[in-house]
Amino acid sequence: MQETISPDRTNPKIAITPEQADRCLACGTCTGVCPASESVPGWDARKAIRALALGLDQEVIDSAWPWVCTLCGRCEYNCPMGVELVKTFRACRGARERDKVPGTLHQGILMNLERGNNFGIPRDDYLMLLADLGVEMENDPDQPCPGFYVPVDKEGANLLVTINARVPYAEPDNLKFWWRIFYAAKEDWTLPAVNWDGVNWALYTGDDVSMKIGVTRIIENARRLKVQTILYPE
Amino acid sequence: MATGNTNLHRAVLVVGGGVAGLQAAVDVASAGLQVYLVDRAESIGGLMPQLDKTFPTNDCGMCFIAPKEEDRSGCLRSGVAVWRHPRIMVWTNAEVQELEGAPGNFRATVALRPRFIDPDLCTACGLCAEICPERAINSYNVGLAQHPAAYLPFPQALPRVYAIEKAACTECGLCVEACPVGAVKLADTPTTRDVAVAAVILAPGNEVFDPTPLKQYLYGQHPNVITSLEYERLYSGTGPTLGQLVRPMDGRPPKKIAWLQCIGSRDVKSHSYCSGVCCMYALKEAMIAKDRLGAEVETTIFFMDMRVVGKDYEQYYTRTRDQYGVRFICYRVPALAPADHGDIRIEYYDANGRKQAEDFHLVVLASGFGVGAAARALAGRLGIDLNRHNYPVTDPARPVATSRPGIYACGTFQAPKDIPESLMEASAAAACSLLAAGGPRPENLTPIPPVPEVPASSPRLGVFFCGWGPDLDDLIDSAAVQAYAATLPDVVASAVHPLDCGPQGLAALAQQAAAAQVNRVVVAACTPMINEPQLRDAFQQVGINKYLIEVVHIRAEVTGVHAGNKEGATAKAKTLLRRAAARVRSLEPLAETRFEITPRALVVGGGVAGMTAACNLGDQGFTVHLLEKTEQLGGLARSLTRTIEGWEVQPYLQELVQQVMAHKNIQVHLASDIVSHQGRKGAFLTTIGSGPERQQTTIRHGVTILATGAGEYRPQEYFYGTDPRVITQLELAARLRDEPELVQTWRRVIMIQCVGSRNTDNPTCSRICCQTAVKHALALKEKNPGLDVVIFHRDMRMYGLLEDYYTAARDQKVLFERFDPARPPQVRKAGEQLQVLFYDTILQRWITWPVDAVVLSAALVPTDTRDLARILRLPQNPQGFWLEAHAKMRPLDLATEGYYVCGTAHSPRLVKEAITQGLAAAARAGAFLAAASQAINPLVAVVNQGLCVGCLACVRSCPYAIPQMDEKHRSQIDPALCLGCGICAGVCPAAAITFTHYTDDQINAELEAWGATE
Repeated sequence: MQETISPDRTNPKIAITPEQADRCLACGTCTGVCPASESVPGWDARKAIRALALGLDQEVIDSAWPWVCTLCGRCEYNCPMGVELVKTFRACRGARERDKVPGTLHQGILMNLERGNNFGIPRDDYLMLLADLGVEMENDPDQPCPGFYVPVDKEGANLLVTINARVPYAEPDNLKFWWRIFYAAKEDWTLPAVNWDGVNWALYTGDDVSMKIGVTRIIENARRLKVQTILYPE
Repeated sequence: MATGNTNLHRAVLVVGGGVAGLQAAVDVASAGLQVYLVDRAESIGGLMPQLDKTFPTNDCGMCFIAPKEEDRSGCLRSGVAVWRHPRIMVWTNAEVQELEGAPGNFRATVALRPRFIDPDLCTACGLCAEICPERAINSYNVGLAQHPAAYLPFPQALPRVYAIEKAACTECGLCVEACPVGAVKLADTPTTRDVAVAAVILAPGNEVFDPTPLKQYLYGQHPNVITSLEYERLYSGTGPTLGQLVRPMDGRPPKKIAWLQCIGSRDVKSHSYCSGVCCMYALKEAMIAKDRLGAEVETTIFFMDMRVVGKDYEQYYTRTRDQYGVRFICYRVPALAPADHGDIRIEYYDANGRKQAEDFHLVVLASGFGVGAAARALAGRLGIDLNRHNYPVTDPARPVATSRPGIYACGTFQAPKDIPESLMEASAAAACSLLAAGGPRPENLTPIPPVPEVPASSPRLGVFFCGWGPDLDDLIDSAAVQAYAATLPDVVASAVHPLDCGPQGLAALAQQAAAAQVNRVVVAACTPMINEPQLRDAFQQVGINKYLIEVVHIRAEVTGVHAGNKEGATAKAKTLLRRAAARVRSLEPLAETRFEITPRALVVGGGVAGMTAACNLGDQGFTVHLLEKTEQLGGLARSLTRTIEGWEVQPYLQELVQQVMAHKNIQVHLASDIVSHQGRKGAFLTTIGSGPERQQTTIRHGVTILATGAGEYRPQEYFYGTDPRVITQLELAARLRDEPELVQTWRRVIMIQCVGSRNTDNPTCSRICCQTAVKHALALKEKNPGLDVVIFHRDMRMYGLLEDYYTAARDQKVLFERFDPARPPQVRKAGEQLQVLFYDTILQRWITWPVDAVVLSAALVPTDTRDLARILRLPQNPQGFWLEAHAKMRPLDLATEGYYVCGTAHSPRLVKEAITQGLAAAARAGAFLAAASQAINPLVAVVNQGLCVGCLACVRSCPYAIPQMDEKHRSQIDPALCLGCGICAGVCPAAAITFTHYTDDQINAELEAWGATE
């Protein structure tokens, strides 16, 4: 016989609401529809939910399961009991110690908190890049855009646009795709000078505090610039 | 038994002609009141005619066990009993539009939609359908077939009248021309009728869930994915394949079939409740697959919990698994995928958590129940409140009463349920309606005509051949048959008669016979099922004894089976006529007799069911003797605090006890039991002994109701009795009531289900323990929210709307642990500490916890009534529950007439279900008593005591325990009790028993004529 365990069901680490683990009937629907089933030995959606109901929160938190799960939501869509699996598994991610968050996700979040974007691009570099790319586009030999420039911190614009920091960091020319659309559509748009990264990694790591800071900064930009609509190209 | 209030309407309106509505109508009408039965469909019967076989008997209904002809033709399933009843007016294609007034004095407006064929003229010849060029979906075969726009809904439909589906009709007029009686009326218009009634019984039924919107199950996309109702039609002889169980795509018999449970049930996106019937019908359907296609057919049921809670259903489940080899997989299949060769792939996780994939030839979706739009609209029109699942709001104390006084609900409309429970509820609704209508009314008896002297030496035979039928001359040479009949011995009259089975046609035929001074009659016609009793009555009216009539079934035995062989058919008809003529010559006239019914009831058992039955019968006006073994009324309900709904049982119980004690028609005998019992239905004589002195009283009564109750099993398991921390659910109920502070100190409580149930010693499921555990878990959580409650179960059987409480318990963090009976949870002691050790089947890990209390959900076992069963000579099942006449169709009547059972003496049940049964038993018993006298059928076994050697062969072979040995050890058979099956006459080695109307001489005469030649 395997090891016998005695989990503590009365002191959950995941703040379980009925819509999370308790209402589960263990019918297996979630595991049946999950594209990630079979990919983490010993774990699947049903087992994870069952483990939480039994008080084995720490085991789920420590497992790779919540991170391999892509939060696609098929399980929740099909669940006959309305169990909120996506919220639950994200909560499991959030409950992991931050230095054990996989990959560079948490470092990116820290960078974002400090510099306003996940890759830590300095403000001057960013503004210089925008100016250079604007000139390039205006004078593009194949498709010139006469009069084009990148509107930064333009008050009262129609659209506030955010950026995935990976693009200016690695493939800055790709920024121009959207800009060409804006130019052709004569859109009144603007980019914020600070806190312009629209990719909120804290969403994925279950870090609600950092996520809220990221979201708040974007909204503050919109308020400061009196823009009604925010565009997340990601 | 009128109450003296002459202003009450002596009539009841029944809405819905399914089994519940039919049962309610029969019960009310049998008590002497008028019934108006209204059904939306073209014919009565509801869902049940679509079911070829029903669980748990796997037969179609009651005809198997009702040997008397009047009972056979009174088959409830097809509605014949209702259709023929003189006090039941049936309107099909009809809906209740309005209802005004108050209980006792309602006025209802019924709207009748046109059927475009006049029911008074239509003879159901079928010519309209034959000529109709248009086609419509055949809803009887749930879309698996089509029928013409002019159609009979199904072969046994009542009324036996065609209808025209206007949506498919192009008004081409061919049917108008084809109809020989001018019954087709394409310009027919709606009409209304007003009726005055005292009460309304709603039984409009449920709709079966349509799985089309659940796209993942491929229903409507893949032909080999069908619903359970389509499966029912596929194996039915009246279905689209004439009973060939083949898959729709290629007509080949499937070798591997899967059932998916809970389609449209237990799912927050469709119906969150449990439909209560699908587990049982899936078992039945899997058994039928094995029976029809061979044992090698693989049948698999994918389920969440097998909810088989009815009487002896668990044994049925066991048989399906162990004898039939049906495979059960606990997994809710989320989606189906098409595979090769028209198969369907199912991926699932097995009991070991391993992923499997299998291809099935046919997949059956076990569709659940829901209240249909029409029933919801009806509830709206009548102003009755519905709950969040659209079922009527009811009170556990009055389980069939809706929110509007005088309106009662029964059957699946009340809540999802199976047929036996529907029938019980229907009878309960009848009992309530009877009181609203002023109680039963004794029947006005027509005198039994005297038996004419018919000298055996001068038989005068009339032979009448039914010449009706559009293509009769193509099938048989009726003139030749008639000419032959005229040559048979003693035939004085013969004719091809344009027999129409209406009252006028039958009267004309009888007059023709009387004019020729005929004293014995042979009628060659289609089939005796529906019209034979009227045929016999018509001859009786003109002075020809109804037992001197023989009917030859020309359609069933000749034209229907020998089409295309006119010569052979004609020859066979002659042979059958010769046989019948010989038989009718040998018959003797018989007389029905009557005896008076003692209008008093004996109710054995003073629990909720017995008291409810006694009160209702007392209110109906009958004297009731209520017998209670203990010093106190109340029974098992005295140990209950409140029901799962939160209803307080004790105030109700006290009021009921007071009502019984104060009732002018009820005489209570406490500390009493039965000493001796004799007599027969309508005339019982029972001696009871009361008190410590065993003072004897003799009671005469007409009916006996058994409400002997049940109690909690005393467990041998889990340290029960040796450790005070191990208690039963009833003991927990007492702790919750009396020692709430103790509950506050507990940190973890476990409950273990099925202790003493579902095992080899007691193979039954006790039905109510799952809900008791949930109820107590919720109560514990209320008193001590931090308490950890774990319930170990094999299946959580929270049937019907109880599912809501199961969900509520999980929301309160009650943990439910399914266990395999081979690996049950273990309770252990570590020093003074109690611990539980169990295996979680999902995580496949062993878990142990310390526990403060172990609550055993102990079985509900019937009161030991073996002595009583011997005194009453009544059968019980192996567990000691009284055995009803038919588990499906007559759930509360015993096979021996005049006895009824209710409450936990029938099977484990909830208080509200016991109340329902108490009311229902009162309706059944009251209707019998209201008849005032009982006709004795003369077709019975008669003992020639001079020949009897006392061998007991008859006693042993009688299925109804009727033959008794007298003081000289000779058999005696009471003609009032004999059900006329004839078995004893067949087995009697001394030929001392003859069966009236089927004597050896009569049968020999018949056989001789059969073997003779023309």
